[in-house]
Amino acid sequence: MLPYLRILIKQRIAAWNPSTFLGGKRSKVKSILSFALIMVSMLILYAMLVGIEYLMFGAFSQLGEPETMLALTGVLCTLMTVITSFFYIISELFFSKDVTLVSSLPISSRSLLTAKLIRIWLGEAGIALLICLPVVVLYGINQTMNVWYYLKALLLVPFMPMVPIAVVTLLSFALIRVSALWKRREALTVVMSMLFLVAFMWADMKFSMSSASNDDMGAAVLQLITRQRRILDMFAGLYPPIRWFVVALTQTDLVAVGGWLGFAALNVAAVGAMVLMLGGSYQRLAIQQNETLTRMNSTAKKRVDRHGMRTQFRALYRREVREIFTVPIYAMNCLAAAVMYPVIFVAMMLSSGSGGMDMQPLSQLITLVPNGLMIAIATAVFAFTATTSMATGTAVSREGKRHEFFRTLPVKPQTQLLAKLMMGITINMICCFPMVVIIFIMLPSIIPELLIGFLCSLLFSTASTVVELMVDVAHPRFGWKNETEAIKQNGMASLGMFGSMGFIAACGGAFYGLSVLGVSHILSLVLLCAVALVLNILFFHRLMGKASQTYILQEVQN
Amino acid sequence: MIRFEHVTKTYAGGSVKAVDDLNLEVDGGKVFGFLGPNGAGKTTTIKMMTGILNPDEGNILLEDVDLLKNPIEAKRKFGFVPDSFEMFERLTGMDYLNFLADMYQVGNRERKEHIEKYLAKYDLKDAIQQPIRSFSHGMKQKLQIIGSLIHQPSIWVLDEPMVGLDPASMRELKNEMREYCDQGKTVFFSTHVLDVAERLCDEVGIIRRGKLIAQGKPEELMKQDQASTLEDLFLNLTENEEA
Repeated sequence: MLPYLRILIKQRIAAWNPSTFLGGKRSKVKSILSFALIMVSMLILYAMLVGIEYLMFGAFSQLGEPETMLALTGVLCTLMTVITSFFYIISELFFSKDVTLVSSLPISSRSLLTAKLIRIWLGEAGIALLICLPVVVLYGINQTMNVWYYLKALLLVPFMPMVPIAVVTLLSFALIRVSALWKRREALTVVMSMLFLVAFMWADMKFSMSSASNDDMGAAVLQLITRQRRILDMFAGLYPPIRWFVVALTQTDLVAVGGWLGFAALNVAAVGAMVLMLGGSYQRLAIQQNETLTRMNSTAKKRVDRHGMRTQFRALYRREVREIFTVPIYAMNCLAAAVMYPVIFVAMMLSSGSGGMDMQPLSQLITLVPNGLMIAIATAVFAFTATTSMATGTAVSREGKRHEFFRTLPVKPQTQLLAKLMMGITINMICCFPMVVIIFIMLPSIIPELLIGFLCSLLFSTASTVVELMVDVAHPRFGWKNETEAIKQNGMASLGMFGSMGFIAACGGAFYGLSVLGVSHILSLVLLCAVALVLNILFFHRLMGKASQTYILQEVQN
Repeated sequence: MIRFEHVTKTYAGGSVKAVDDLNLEVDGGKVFGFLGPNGAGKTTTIKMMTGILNPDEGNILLEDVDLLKNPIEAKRKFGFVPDSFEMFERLTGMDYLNFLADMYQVGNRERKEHIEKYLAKYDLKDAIQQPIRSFSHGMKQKLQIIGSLIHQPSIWVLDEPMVGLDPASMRELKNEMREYCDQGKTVFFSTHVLDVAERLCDEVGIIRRGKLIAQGKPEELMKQDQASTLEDLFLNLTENEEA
């Protein structure tokens, strides 16, 4: 198992090498500069997280419960690991291309699963440390803790992602087992992954709400105010082991040792149980997932003699869109926004509706918001939802070695890029569509504002989509070995996505600035839409001009 | 007709010349075998003539169309069979062929006719509705061959086309190449199978370290070098110069 684990870790580390991370043919200096730019962007994001944690820690300290921030960070970190690692773990376990090769090696199924889970855990542990350490340090300074406290934190935090990893592993095995019963198992896996995620988030939300409502919210708040109940207890109610985590960190007696052992043992046991329970069947399931069904279904039989001619653009566009839907990894990464945001939105709406489905008070409240502002909010929400898709930002990179094939085709590069752009806009719209429908249903009083907002958002999301595509044209990463690498380990695409989010945020800031200057909401929005329209024209012109020439001249480095 | 004019391609920041001032002309109606040891520059040359790589210097003309100045028009002139299948594993074979036909704007009647003809010829009819990733290496190769002929190009470029083919398909391919050039079209292929090249090619070119070291009819070249087979000639030229 160890050699395999070593290879997995090496592969992961190599992915962060500036040259492989960025790909493409470029000078060393350019590679390092671009890598530095990505790192700076990530640092800025991290600084924002630290800032938020600092502010929240201050608030909890004022309430006299600084340790609650440790608990809150732990709970959030655990939940976020489940949500963010969901697609990642499924793809690592069941869609990685090494399954067939590794299957031929003398390594047991259980060892394979163990190695993969350890590799996943190492990555998640690193993220957990990054998230938790600022709070740990703030608490340590605030409470003047000694070195032993910091050491304990370093030893304890990495255990945190183990339970979430175990939960997701269990879910993914269930998913693959069910989907294996069907012919169109890949499509089913995508759909069911989304449904599982929705179900998990829904269950989590219901649990949080029920734990709040069972106690009678009013009484609970009173208890908090009168200090009869601690906020920490509320968070510990969401995820009980977090209490052990806090005890282990903040106390120094035997109870702390017990807490440390309890927290570590629970996490290790969770992953260990998965390995014991599922390890034996892992390899068989993974191979089964990689097998291709050779039976021809009835639809395919009907298609045998059908040769519908399409224009080059239509054929390319169709292929681009089909690829997103038929490759599970792409679907999970590009269409996740279509599922996650609606669920989060519904959860927020239900929470604000006193835990019930009664939207009446909220609807009435929303009618008080000026129309212009409501349209602007809808525009921002839809534009933001669209920017989270990686479909366009990786459209060129996803060609991989096939880019050579595309270069041999007698098709104008403009047509090829236009097909990618239209695919991106289509995916953007698909990502927004569920949100539009849900808001239609939940808040019918704002349908006109919503529709206008949706249309306005297309201007902003299209502008950022064109830029993301141009970034990928200039810095493609063709050298990937599997689809996960193609879409998830693409530094420039991530940078493009963050840039798009920044663009939407900047537009929001500009809207606010104009409002402060006394410009009406409607006029502010019209002005910003006009700017977005001009940007669209300029960016599109650039895409069809210089970028298309760059695209067709990009060489795949062997 | 294919013409390379002073074509040069360098790798690794200019330190390695993969193709060095290549001048080569292949007339229509010929099967041209492009031979050379590993790393000699065969694939780089083929990649340049199919637009996959950009030459650093020189011009490439396909049927008198300059590939660099008029790439779209030039690309319509050839069909290409690469040495490996790195594409569209999730599409079915038929999806792939239809996609290619759309790219080359082949009409419905014509594409149906070509697809059916070649599927029968290469015995791929039963598998064509399966996803490509379920195909064996040989089946993928056959699919690429069919795809490259779907628009009946005037130049047929094949990079190591014999690899992975069963004997029957190999014979079918050789016959196809011969029939193709009998129609006045050009077949340009690289291979390491020298027996095949000797029997099949009207003309061969031997490349070594990016330079064309011999070009002509196999029998004439063998006569010049007093070699009894193309293999002897190839080894004489490549190994002697190596020494």
